[in-house]
Amino acid sequence: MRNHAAVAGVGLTATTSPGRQTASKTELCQEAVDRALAHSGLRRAEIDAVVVGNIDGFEATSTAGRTIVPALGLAPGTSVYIVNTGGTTGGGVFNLAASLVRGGEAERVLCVGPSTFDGPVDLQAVINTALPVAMEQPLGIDGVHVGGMFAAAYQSRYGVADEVLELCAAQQREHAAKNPYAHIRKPLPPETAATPITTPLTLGMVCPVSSGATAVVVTTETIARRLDRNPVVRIAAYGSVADTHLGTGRHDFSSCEVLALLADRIYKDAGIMDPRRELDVLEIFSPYAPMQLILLEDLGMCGRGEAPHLVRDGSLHVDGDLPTNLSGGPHSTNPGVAAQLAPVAYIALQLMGQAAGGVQVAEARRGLAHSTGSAWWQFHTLAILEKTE
Amino acid sequence: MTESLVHSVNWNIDYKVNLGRAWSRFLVSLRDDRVILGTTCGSCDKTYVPPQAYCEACYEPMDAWVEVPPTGTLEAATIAQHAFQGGPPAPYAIGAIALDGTDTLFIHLISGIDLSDQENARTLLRRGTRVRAVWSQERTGSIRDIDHFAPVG
Ligand SMILES: [Zn+2]
Repeated sequence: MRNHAAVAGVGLTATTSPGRQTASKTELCQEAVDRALAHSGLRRAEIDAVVVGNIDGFEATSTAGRTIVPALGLAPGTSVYIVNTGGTTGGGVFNLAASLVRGGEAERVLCVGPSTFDGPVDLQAVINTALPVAMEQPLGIDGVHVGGMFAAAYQSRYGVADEVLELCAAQQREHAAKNPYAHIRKPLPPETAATPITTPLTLGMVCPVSSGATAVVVTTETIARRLDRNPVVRIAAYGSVADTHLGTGRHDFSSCEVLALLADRIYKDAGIMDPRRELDVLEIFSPYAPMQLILLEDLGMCGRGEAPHLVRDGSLHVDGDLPTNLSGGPHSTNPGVAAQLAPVAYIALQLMGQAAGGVQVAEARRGLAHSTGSAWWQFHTLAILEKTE
Repeated sequence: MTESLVHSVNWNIDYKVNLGRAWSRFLVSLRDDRVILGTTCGSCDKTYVPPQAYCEACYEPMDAWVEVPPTGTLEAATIAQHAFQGGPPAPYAIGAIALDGTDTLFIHLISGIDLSDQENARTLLRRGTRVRAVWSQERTGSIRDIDHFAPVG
């Protein structure tokens, strides 16, 4: 029988804006790692591999891993892996850790999600460099315009009113208000929230730039059981996928076809026939609040054009039948790679019965964590976590 | 609590990127002939603009070059209200255009309407709007040799 990979512990730091942050990126990672190790019950010296995320251009040094890894107090000879896949870096860090454990390369792997956005004076100018050279960079496209284009395409294809997009934002902020690790925990004043950014997105629908770090410890199910600190959370299935780099290569911006393909594969791996009924809690990566609609449809939670019903009827709340982004998601807290690893951490806490802030889903047994990013949301990662008895 | 120091760090690095055969031919054609070229896959019959050397669906080499009309239909557009360092002045609009006779969406700037009236501009740039390329006076072999696409009719 396969010795599955499992989540042994997670560590999240408090978050704030980069301007108010007094810790360096390395200091934030040290804090997240300390918390994750304490949560898992593993000692620093027992870690045999570390996986660190990085996104080119944000760091004012080309690879954060080389400054962060030596500062973590790990044993000499610990294997080091760097992941660098834009908006899915954090999800990729976790998937690589699961692969190392499943493949028998390592038994106790530390995943580090650094605080990515502390640094750039004009973040959008950095994000613009992720767009295709020559064809799209000169057109003034950055992350928020990609978010705007998808939301506009979805809205016009299915005749969705602006009010639904605003409701997506309001619900996620409502969740963030309860999360002690969230950055924006109070709703913006209505006139501020209504500030136009790029149609149909307004300021209230767009994520803040946050500062904070996340760490996760992945080990074998046998070791996790022996540690006996937390309920054992098995990594039942995981994977990643890539679409074309050029926005021009797409046929449609009202869906992410490759995410639907990935979801099919992952559900099969996890033995899930009906994802809407069999998944108890979701954390999906929607820094621009209306993205939620598209992602829920790609993940097979409802038919095309039907996601506004899930938002309207309260399904996505803690007491709904599809609790989604109870942490508030990256729409309220976006420290880059740390935010991309956070969905895994929040799902693990839910399954361990340790969700903070009164958002524990009753009898949460199985959850889904997602991340996406790079030009036109080119990459996606998914992981399905399961509480084992 | 000690004072928290912040240092300014600046990178100013120039690059030269080889665009390759397919994109060079595409941009030279914009510059010299004001003609939009695409490549068509012999296996799945899809036409790509900008052209690609290999079909992304079949991985077949694409050497069939086709002239594509400078007209198309808007699939979606977003009107940006804020500029960023190195980007165009705001407001500006970015559109995804289904060029006639192609199977891809072409991303470009949309202009020729009053973008300062955001709600009216949103209506004018709705899905299904027909658009046409407006050429730049000075062409340099860049994607901006098409200055923008403008709604027609
Ligand atoms: Zn083909």
